[in-house]
Amino acid sequence: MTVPTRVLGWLATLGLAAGLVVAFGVAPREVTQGNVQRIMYVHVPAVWVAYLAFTVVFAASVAHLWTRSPAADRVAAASTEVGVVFLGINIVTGSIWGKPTWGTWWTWDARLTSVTVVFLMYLGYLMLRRMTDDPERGARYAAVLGTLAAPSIYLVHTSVYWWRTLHQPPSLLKAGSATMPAVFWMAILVNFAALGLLAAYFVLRRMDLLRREQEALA
Amino acid sequence: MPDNWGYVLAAYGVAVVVLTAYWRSLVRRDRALSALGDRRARPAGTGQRQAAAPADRRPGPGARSRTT
Amino acid sequence: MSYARRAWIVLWKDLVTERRSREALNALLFFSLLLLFVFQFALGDRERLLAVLPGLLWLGFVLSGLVGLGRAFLAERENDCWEGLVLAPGDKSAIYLGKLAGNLLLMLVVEAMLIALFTVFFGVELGGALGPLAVVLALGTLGFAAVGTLFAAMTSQVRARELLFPVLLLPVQVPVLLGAVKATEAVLAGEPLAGVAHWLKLLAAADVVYVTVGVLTFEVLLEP
Repeated sequence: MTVPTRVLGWLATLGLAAGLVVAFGVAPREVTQGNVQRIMYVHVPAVWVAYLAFTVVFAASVAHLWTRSPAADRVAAASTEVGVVFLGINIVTGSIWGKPTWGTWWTWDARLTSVTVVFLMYLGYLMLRRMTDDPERGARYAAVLGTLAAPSIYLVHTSVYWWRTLHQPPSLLKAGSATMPAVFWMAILVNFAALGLLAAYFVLRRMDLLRREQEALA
Repeated sequence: MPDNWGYVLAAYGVAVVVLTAYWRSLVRRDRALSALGDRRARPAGTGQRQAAAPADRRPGPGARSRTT
Repeated sequence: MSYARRAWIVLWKDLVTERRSREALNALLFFSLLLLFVFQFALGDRERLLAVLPGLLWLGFVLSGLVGLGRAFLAERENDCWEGLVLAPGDKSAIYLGKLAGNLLLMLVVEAMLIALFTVFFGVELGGALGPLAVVLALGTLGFAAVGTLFAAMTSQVRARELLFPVLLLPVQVPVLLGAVKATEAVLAGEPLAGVAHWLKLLAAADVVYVTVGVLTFEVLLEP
């Protein structure tokens, strides 16, 4: 582990501590939902971090297809793994938030449904990597999938949103509406920074492990 | 509206558990790779002892009979 | 040899092979008939069936597609012709388009058959909806076949390909499935296509994205 990575890890730890303080100590109790709303401070940043990671996957996949760079492949592989982890957290925390708020563990709400489909897509990516024996071929195939997956995210969200909202009454309580007071936004942004630092730390460590694994096999 | 702290705890708990588990898997792989690296590096340091070992393992006269 | 001609030759080879053996087509038509019976046994009531007819049709198409497309490169793999594809001169994306055309045709034939069977067995009346339905079928099936052909090539060289193919294909197909079902719903209800123009545009956009990515990346899949 390099020094920058180590520093990043410590920064992430500080950020997480700050995030928790802000989420529970600074942000006030929400009027309509009560303290259950505090779940949003991990739920929303998690999906932002995940989708940021998937954007990186797209760039790295295209780069790998263009240059066949092993480093680009490692970026894609590591970012997908980390993205899937954070997206999984988003889905589960969303479900946990939904139980007291909406009364059920699951609804076919547009956002929850789209995010889960995207999650399944990238889970398939990880499966593909695992099931390809030749690592160089695995990298190529994954890069093709990573390139296709990104525009698919947009198509999935659009189609599911239309499916859910057109000719139907406006959906239930939104997880976090755009008209939130500033202090709530601040709490979300602080936690976003913290989770983002953690994700970056994870990606760098994972990439380092991938490089050493490849060298060990060589 | 009741505060449902149980749910808040569950949600944050899930996040902590998942992130910790992932971090630990990274650390575990790191250690495994380092150990592998050490094992491979060791023969270079104690080369003479290692080079002698195969010779020791070769069966001595009468140590093991061979069917012809 | 021109690009179009190369694509055409791949399509022609698949068509001729199929015409001689009729393996895939017969099996898929038989599969469609069986699906119909499964739907009947699973859903029973004719009212219930007709209420979900659009979704049921596309469920049938997707299932047939998974079976039919999964084996898109089976012939090449089993007969050791994969290297032949790999060594083919020129732009390999022509092979993708040829394969795509073949798969598209196969799926459209199966879909037509399934619709005919639905009409016969469940007394579905299509009438004027046939034209608009054909448009929806074309757009939806193209999206399905475009990704299916790409993933079939991808998984043909991978472990557990029969499992991985549907697992990879289905999430990506969600937009196509949603658009196709919604548009089919409208068409079967007698509404004009203009009412679902947004869905048709989404399908068309998806088709463009998928075919483009396919054309650009197929060559990468063929490398040894």
